[in-house]
Amino acid sequence: MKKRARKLFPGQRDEEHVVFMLRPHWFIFLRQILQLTLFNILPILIFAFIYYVVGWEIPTEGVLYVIMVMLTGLYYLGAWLAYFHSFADYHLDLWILTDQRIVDIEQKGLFDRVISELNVVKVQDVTSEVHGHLQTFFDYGNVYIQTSAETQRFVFQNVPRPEEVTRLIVKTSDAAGKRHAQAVGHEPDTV
Amino acid sequence: MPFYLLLIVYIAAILFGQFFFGVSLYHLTRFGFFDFTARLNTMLLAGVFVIVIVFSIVFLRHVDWTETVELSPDLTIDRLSNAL
Repeated sequence: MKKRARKLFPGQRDEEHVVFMLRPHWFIFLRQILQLTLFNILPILIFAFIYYVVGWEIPTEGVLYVIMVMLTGLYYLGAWLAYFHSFADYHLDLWILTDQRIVDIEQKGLFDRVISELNVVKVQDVTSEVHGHLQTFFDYGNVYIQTSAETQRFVFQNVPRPEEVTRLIVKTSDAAGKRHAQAVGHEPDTV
Repeated sequence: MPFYLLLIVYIAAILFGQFFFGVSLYHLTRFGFFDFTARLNTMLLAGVFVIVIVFSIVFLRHVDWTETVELSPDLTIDRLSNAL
């Protein structure tokens, strides 16, 4: 009995092999982590300032105390929920290259999700782009995929190792083109 | 205004936060990418929820929720309205 390959993403076909699955570079998400760290430290600094510099001890009775405790709790929950939301957004943005197609899964907010795909045989031109010192230093950038349809262009944004990604797409597309040509019974066009 | 109204608003806000958390978690699991980093972040957020709830209970346990609102021991809504 033929063993079925493990499904790596929803909608993966039975005889489909994943070449790579990409998310935006971790540096893109680092901003969210730094923001969360700052938001976590800020109330501690404010309370320390009020207590040690201003010398104001908030009385543990009265509505002011209750409101401060509640607002602090809600503040931390809000900061962490915002972080988790951006994590889900980042984590669900995926570009998948298989031996048959390129799948672009884009999460927009909580309830919007766009999935587009193109046949890997239709890839005509692949371009990688690295701009600026940060992208050069951390080795990430954009990859543009032009298909035979003039208007259609896939963009992998801020992906790690864009040049390697470009090479893999071209290699996979060439291999798929050869398979396709053999299947329809003629030699593939050479460039 | 009794104190417990503040508590009701606070609990409602926490429940809304849990709903928001649930929706994000649903998306992560529903679309099949619930890997190590997703689990780690989920655990962290669940931990923050627990910490906030425990700290709220500890810091607010002595509050008499049936009392009426007092802005500070010297400043009450009644005194404010009388002054106005």
